[in-house]
Amino acid sequence: MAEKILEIQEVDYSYRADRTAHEHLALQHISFAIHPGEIVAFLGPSGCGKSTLMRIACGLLNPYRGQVLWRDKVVSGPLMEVGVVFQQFALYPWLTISQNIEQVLIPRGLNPAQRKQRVSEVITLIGLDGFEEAYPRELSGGMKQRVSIARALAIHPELLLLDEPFSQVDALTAETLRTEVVNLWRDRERYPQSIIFVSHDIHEVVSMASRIMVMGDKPGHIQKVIDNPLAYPRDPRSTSFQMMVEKLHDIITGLYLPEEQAPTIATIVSSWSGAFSMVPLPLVEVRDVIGILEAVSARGGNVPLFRLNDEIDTTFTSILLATKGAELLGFLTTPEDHLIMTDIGKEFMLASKKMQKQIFKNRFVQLNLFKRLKDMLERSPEGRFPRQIFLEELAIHCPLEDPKKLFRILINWGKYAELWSYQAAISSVVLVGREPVPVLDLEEEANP
Amino acid sequence: MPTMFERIQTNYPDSSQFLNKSKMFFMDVFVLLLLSAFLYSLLILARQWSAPLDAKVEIDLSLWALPQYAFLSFLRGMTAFAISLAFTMVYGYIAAYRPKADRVLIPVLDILQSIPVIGFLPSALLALVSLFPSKTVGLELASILMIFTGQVWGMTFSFYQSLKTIPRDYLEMSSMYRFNFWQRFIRLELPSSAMALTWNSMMGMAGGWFFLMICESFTLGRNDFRLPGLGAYMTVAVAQNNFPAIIGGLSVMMALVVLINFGVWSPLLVWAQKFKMEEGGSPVLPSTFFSNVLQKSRLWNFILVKIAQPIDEYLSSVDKVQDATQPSQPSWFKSYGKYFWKYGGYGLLVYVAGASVWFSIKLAQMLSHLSSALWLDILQSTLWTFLRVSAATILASLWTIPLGIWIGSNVKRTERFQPLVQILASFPAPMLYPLMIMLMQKMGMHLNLASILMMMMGTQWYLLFNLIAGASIVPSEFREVGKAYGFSRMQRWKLIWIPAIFPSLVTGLVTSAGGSWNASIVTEYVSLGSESYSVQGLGSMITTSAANGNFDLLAAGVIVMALTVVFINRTLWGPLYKLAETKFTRTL
Repeated sequence: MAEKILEIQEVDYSYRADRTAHEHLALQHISFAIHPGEIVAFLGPSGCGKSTLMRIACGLLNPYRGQVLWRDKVVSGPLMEVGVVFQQFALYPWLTISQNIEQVLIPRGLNPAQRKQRVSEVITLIGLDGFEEAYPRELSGGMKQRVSIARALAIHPELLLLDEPFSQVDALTAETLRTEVVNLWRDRERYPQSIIFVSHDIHEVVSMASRIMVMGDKPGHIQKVIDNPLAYPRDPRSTSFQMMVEKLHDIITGLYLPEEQAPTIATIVSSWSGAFSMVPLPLVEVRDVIGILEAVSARGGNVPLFRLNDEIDTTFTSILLATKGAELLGFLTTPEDHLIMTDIGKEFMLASKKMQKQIFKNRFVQLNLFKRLKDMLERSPEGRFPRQIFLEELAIHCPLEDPKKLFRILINWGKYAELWSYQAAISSVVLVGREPVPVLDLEEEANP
Repeated sequence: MPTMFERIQTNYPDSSQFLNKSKMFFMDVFVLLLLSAFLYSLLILARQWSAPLDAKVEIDLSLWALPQYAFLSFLRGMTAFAISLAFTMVYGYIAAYRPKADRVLIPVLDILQSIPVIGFLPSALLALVSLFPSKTVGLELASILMIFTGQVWGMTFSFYQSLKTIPRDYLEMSSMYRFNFWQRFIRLELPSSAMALTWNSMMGMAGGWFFLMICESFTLGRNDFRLPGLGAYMTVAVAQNNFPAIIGGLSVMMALVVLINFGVWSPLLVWAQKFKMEEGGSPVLPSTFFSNVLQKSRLWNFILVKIAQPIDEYLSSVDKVQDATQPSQPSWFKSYGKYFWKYGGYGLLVYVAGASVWFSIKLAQMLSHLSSALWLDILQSTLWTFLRVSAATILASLWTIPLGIWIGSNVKRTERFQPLVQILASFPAPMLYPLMIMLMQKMGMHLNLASILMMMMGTQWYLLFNLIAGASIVPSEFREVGKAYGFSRMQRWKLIWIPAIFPSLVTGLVTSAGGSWNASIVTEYVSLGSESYSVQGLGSMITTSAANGNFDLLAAGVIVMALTVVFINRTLWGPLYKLAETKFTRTL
């Protein structure tokens, strides 16, 4: 793919007047090219300059350093060939749907008859028939976004640019719209040839993009480019899709939490049962982990797995799970079918109840899954997360596990370590020390 | 979509045919009448303006003369309003879009709005009369200019604010899709500001009427100027202590205010609802008599479709869009426009700075003639007026806060009382002052108290207005919480009402206190018949010095008043505004 539609060359951007200082840059050293027939996603945390980059790419903002090329020509203003879909829709509330769409055709020199024709064409294409004379406030978020897309398509853009396009609509509608946008693009007869979009949703990125640019912040830069070769149409339930999500997750986690690898599940355990290999946290309660440690400790800190199985009255699976949990926390090692107490394990057994919690906590916080969730919690301003979002995160992360069970275990581990708790009243996981005031809070009520 | 009409027609094709035609005819006649009235008024205006200059027109105090005078005053008000609108657009646009322009233009606006109308009088009058020495037009323009200074500032502020608060997405959308100046103005900027601009236009009109008596008849030293109009009529009636004429003038003024309110502002306010920014709410507009007439008039539709739309079409598509990838070849207008803005701007700045320095020196020379005893007098007067304004503001708050909340907290009550308050606010209170003086004489009231009461009569409506508006948008959940948890009356006030209306309270207080300062020129010095009543104060000092042609003292008084108002705005209202914006804001 030698042909380039859009090319960004070594672009820097700053919102500050004194643009020399490095720390004030919003974007730094951005270079990429968009080829015909691509969907390119920009994935990154909020505040990393994704939206600014979009505005530069379409010519709304001029880069401070570097340049933007459209078909090898330098861009100096808003590009005629690009249709932009804004995050908040940007529909004028005093104009009807068809008037909103028609407006963008006027500067293109179309006469009233041509405009009318074009408007009805995109209205049919996007499935807005019957809403021509409606006002934006009469429409749902999803419908508004449809109008916004229709407006962008009305100018027959070569490149469609979407700025966090589905962040303002509900999950189900977003899913539908994603599919529709991809289908529009797959229809090679029509515009647009290529799409670029901004997102912070891994699932969305995997379902739409053929190329993914992972962005980092402070200042905003492109950290990694990943090709997404999955064939369209994509099935979110397919294993390959889940693998891609997982891969992207790991890449991002690796990029944002660049610490040494947390202890992996021992090979011996995973060889016993292949299904366990994907589980980052065994479905076992803390008391069972302590139970297995006590059992091993009582047997001199070194005992073959099968002897233990004969001697204690429980199922083999429970022993396996508890062992795995203890191993994950670094209390046990399991060379050659033996369960051996580590130094930390010994220390744990000798410690007081309070110290035990402390040691447990120290080990627990090193787990990858834990880090991810803690990060989520800490980023949320109130230090809490709705159960539903937690569950979704778990489902993406551990596709082979029952997220509800995993959730319960995770909450219980966190509770034992006094890291977080679950508040049923607000259906949310809450960081310890950040529990809400338990009375009815006026402002909270007013804030949807 | 079929119009109401077509629907009726399809349902009852035979019976409604005649009805439709006759109705349509009636609507056309109505629109035609409006048009001819407009043309006629232009004619009158031209005739009036080209009449030879006669500084002191004899005012006919017979009641039959009133409609004609009312019409002339109405024309002046409307002309001033048209100028205000044009000024607002240009000034607001430059302040909002020229980089850094608002740092200068907004404080200037702040100062201008605190100058009482008499402050503009000498310069406006002398300049314009000397420009047209033999015709009335100079005098007319001076009068219009003074009405303009009563109308314009609030409108300009609101337009600037509206432009500044257009959502970023809306702006980006218009530049991404390459709207030209006209398209952006008509489709984005004007609609965005429609609501606030209509509202402030109404308030502006009221502000213009407030000083109508001064604007149409003024004494400057030995010269007595008078223009045929309702304001001059009232002045003469008051001067002759002609009670029937005073009542007649008041009634006609009231009729005029009511007519404008129901004929212009009410329909406009309803229409402006269409441009509300908020999402949600009913998109169906309540129809008014006026909108019905227009919608059904063929003539109006003809004007719309055959004249307005083609003009819009032409203006929207003129200035063809250029390829963004070409090093854009700017049209000569644009490239020179750029230079014009850049160097013209600098030039203007230098000119204004130079002129200000020059005038400051002149002014300083002028003021240096004033003795220190006189300065002491000015300061004392300022203190007196300050006390009166404070008293008026506090007294006004005491009754408007409970009443405003009471009215605003209930939709039905708001609908019932809002138009009444609107009319009360639009009625120029100074016309009532003679009656107030008569009452004062009867009751043996002290003039100090009367002056405070007169101030209140003029400016408390702004407060009430804002309070009603503020209370009517308090979310009902707030009140329900109070009910659900059985808050006591005290608690409800402290926890719900005061915080909820705080922003509107501050806005209302600023407007009404500022208005009171301006009004002091007519409340501290009132004449009735051959007698005049005055109390010591900055207002009475300004009024008497203008009447005596004592320009040094006039200038000093006006400057001190403007500075005082600006100072109070900065030190007292500024922080309260901040508080309202941060702590008590309701935008979530």
